[in-house]
Amino acid sequence: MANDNRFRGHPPRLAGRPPRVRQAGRVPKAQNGNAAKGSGDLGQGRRQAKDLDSLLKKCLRKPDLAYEKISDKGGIRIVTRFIENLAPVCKLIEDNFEVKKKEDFTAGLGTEKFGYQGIHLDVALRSDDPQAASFGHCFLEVQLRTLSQHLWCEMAHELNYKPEFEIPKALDRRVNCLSALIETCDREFSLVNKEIMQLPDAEPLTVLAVLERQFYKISARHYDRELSVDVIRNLMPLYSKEVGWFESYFEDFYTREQMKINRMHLLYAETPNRSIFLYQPEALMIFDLLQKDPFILKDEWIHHFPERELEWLAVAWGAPLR
Amino acid sequence: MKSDLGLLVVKSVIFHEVPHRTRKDAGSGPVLSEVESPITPEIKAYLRDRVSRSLGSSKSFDIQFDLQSSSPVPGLKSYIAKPNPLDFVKISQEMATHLYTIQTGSNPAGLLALVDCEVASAPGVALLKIEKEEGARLQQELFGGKKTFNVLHFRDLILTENTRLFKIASFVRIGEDFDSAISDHQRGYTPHTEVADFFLRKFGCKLLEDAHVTTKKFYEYAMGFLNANLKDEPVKLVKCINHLVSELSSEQGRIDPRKFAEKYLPLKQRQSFLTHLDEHGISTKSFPLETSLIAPRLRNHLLEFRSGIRVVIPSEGSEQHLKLEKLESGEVRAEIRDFLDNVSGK
Repeated sequence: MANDNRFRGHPPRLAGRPPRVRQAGRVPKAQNGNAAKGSGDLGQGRRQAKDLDSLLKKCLRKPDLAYEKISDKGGIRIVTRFIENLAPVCKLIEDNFEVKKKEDFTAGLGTEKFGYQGIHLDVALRSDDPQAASFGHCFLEVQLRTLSQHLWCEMAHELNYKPEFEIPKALDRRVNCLSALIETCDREFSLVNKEIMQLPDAEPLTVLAVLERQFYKISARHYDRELSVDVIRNLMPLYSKEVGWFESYFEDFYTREQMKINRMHLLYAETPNRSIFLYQPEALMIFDLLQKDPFILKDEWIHHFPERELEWLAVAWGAPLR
Repeated sequence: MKSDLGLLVVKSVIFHEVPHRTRKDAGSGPVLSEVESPITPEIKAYLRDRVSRSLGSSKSFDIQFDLQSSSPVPGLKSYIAKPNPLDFVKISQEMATHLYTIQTGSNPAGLLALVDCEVASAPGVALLKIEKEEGARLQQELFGGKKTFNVLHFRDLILTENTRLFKIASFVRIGEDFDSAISDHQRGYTPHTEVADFFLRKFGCKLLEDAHVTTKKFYEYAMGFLNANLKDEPVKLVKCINHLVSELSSEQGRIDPRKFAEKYLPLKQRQSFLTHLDEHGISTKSFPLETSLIAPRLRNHLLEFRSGIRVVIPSEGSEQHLKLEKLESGEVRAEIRDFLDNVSGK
């Protein structure tokens, strides 16, 4: 019965907490779910609130851990493809939330050790957040890692975590050795990606990354990447500009037109009669060209895509072609 | 219309049925709604698109309220200044009744919709006369104890891509002024007259600018643009000016600058042409053609050469007598083949 003391005072409060934590988890997900995507990396996000059973079990397993000290009652995991995107995503989180605690496991490994890599942040809503009154007291754990690091974590957990018995140290070491390979993988993926983006034919991909960064500020929708590249490849020459020019240009364009673009995304979300290009990143380029020179745009467009689609976009933009 | 229709937001709508009425038959009058029609986000998007498509089109005309008119339409001015739901219903009913009264046997039956909207937070309304297809499932229903048309119920019949919008007008308040436009989809041989009849005369609106003045300004700024931008291509320049004069002399009753650019100007000059007009306060939308102020200038062209030689050519029929050719040096060879009748001092 001694163990019951650990729950003293908790159950009645706990009963109401998990749904609250679950709701609280939706706030950062909605606010910052696109953070990884906004950094230009199509990351994956996963939101999870521990259910009541798990919390009680954790209290039972860790007698010294008070309920209020459990930091992962609710959690968000953000997985990026490339390692260079961890830092910007981390910065986005730090800019948008109050960070109570930050742990960089990769840095913690030093120069001679291998093992779990990633960044953990305990965050709460900032006091000036409109939803702070409801959820300000809740805090969530954000786990930030690359896809490769995530693979290692999942497999290490699967192989090493055997609470029934102790794994021999030699086997444990073999799993940890694999994390060294994962680190090499991340570095190599990153280098290969950079080299690919330098190829002459990759220019549309670079511009797509630029447009994607703006697109994910307003939408978390999946889009047809192949179609995007096709449109960009055909419309890019209309600008007669070097690839490097597009970054700041479209950042300015989005800043200038964000109210219009946001409204449009909301308005047409429930409408079947709309252009299939509306929820594609290249829509920003199409809107820009509609504003700049609809004649030249139409002249190029009709060689590759249905005119009706362009007309729909033009109407949505408030500048019909006819 | 100067307002950015991409920022148009439809807030509410009310429909009234305006049946066909013959000259002899006074009829039973319009079927009026007593409250706004309940609408879904999809219907809002549909209405927004129809308004944007029509009034953003180059076929629309810029207009203003005619405060001398007895029509209820200018009354929208005070509604837009201080919108409230009760006035919205009342003024829309007055408009439907007025429309029914002024219709003749040649006007088809339809629906009158008044849309309460805003453009970039500026309050406004749009007025639509929509075709009502036969075999209608259209029916009035009670909503909150009051009669109205259920939009969901008849959307398949009325609000389709193919539904004809007869007329559409929109009035948006910008500060103390109004940004207003109409579009007339009821095409005929004399579209200008139709617009004038319906909205401008009977519905209490008038063109934003006198058509004679707009036509003159358009001619002058178009000539200025062509001379400045095509001076290195003299043959093309003369050709474009011929097209301009020919459009202005046509019987079509209206001119659409965007269509003119698309039809006759080189691709790279089209948008610059419209920007040039816009920068000088000339409408890039359609306007009725009234050429009395420029009639003499439409009859002849004057070609002025650097050496001081000036050639006056009639707008029509000179092609077979005058041939222009650009030389490598940039000079123009002008060859006139004709009978010389007279020489006089000037």
